[in-house]
Amino acid sequence: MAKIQAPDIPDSNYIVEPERRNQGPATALIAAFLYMHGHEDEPFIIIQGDDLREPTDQFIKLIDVCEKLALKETRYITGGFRPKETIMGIDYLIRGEKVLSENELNVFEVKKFIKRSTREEIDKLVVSSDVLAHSNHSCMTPRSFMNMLKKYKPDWYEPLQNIINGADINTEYAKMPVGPIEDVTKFLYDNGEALVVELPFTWTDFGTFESLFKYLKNKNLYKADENIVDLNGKNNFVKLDDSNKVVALVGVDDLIVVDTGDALLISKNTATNDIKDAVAEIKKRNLQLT
Amino acid sequence: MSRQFRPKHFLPLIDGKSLFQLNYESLLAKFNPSEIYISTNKDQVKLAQLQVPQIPEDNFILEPEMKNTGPAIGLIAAVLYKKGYKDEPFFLVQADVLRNPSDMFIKMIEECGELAKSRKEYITGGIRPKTAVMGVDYLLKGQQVNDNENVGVYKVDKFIWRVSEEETNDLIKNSNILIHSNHTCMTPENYLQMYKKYRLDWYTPLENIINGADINTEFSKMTPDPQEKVTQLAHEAGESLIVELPFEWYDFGTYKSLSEYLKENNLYTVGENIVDLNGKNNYISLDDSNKVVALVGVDNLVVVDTGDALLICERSMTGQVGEALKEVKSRKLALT
Repeated sequence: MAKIQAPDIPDSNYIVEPERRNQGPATALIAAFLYMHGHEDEPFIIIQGDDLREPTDQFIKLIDVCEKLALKETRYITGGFRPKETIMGIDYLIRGEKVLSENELNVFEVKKFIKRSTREEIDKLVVSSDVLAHSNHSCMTPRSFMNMLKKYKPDWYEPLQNIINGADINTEYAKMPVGPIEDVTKFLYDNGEALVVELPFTWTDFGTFESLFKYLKNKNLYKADENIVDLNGKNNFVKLDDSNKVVALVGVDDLIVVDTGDALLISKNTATNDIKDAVAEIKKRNLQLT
Repeated sequence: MSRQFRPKHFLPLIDGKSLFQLNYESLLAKFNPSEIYISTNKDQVKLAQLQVPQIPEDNFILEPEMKNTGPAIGLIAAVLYKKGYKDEPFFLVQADVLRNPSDMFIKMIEECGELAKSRKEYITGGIRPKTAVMGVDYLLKGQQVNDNENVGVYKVDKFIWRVSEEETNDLIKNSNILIHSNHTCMTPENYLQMYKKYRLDWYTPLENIINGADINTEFSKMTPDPQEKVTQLAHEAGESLIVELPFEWYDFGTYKSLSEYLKENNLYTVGENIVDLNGKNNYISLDDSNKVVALVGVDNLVVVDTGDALLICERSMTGQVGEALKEVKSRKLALT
């Protein structure tokens, strides 16, 4: 699917995880792969493919600044933004000393890492101007990253070292314990070995259909197709896999409708946070949904 | 509820069965499949045969073209006449409604059948209107002509052509007022005589058919019109009898009426594949019973997914579905 959507990228640039072992081993494999291909001192930045960053020129600016920084820094660089309101389901960082201000971009030391917590605690937290919502944009050289692993997570480091030395990827990868990247970064945060860049762009993660719909509406990108008849409805959002399907909405407002052929979701606009509960229920019932 | 190739009476609306099948099953309490005839057209005959395979193929009476109910019912009478049943009463059962309880329906058929053997009047059904129904004619029932505590059959004292809403409101206060609900029962001979008197232009081609002329040619000569063009005149002339329907009659004109019926009769069950999170009063109909559906935070919705089309409608607005269908047509969307 990725190759169909971005056919210009050379095949050899695809780093395929042999199996799912969470993002710790996955990120570490990236570093090892680049290291092995002779880019051990060339900074890389991880861009999660499931968010949107706008405007993009500010995003490029971030990459430029991080790259320069990573060339002279061995510390772990990541991203964060000032939360406008309480956001659930993410981690937070308390920023410390400013270490760089360049091109309107500010980079700080990380004073403290706060793992995702309750709404009450976060409500208190976000009032402080020193608090940033963590938005992972890891940047460093493969060599720096490998050194961090060697220090804090030898059971990841050793299989990767073997891979760099020519061992079989599948065999070595299978030896790495499953875990999140925080298994390493928590030590970096605690020991003052992490920096955070205040993101100069808007970061939209489309965690809910409501957020996607709002975004499309605001940008005038949502237009009900000809095959969707919406009779006197307001604020409905319809997404269809089969663009020939005829849909009639009669007397309904504020609905999110997603039809993938094998599954149909109808949710009130304001209830999209609860969709995961419906998905959990579907799983519990062992219904066929992939 | 109907679409061109998905007419309401063939949809699996109730416990997986169509209104057509349910009516057929009701009739089996008294009749053999070979005594049941199906009047339909060539677009629908395949579906009908699929749903009631027990009925002999020879019992399907196909309208060569759509000409409304006058010519269609006339053709039924002519075909039965030609088959040698000219003096055997037939009873017309519209397949797009539900009659409950069905044993009372059978009792009505039996009573009408007996009466029609000895009487020449047009026998039909009437319902006590609960509210003012506009756009229909009303009948004032007169003297009872039979002696049956379950099924009352009456003379028609007065035929009242459709009137204004105020007049209708006044009218329905009278407990003897009925609305015509077509359940034609007559012998083919008497039925055709009624046409001979009031619509000679229908009678003549039908007589030709009985005498062996080509059905397609003769049928095409008949002017399209509803049966009421004849029965109104029969009512007015005092040549009709009316049976006060001894059962509840549901026409399921909207999904709201259908969903209410199903819920009241405990016939609506939500499949395991439908996750309704905190919702109230939702009705879901799926052609694909394996489709996974999630409803989140919604109430009072009617959801109908036929694969090629999806309807989502507020319960109280199901009367507007026809409007949406019109819009679909005006956009020339492919929907059959």
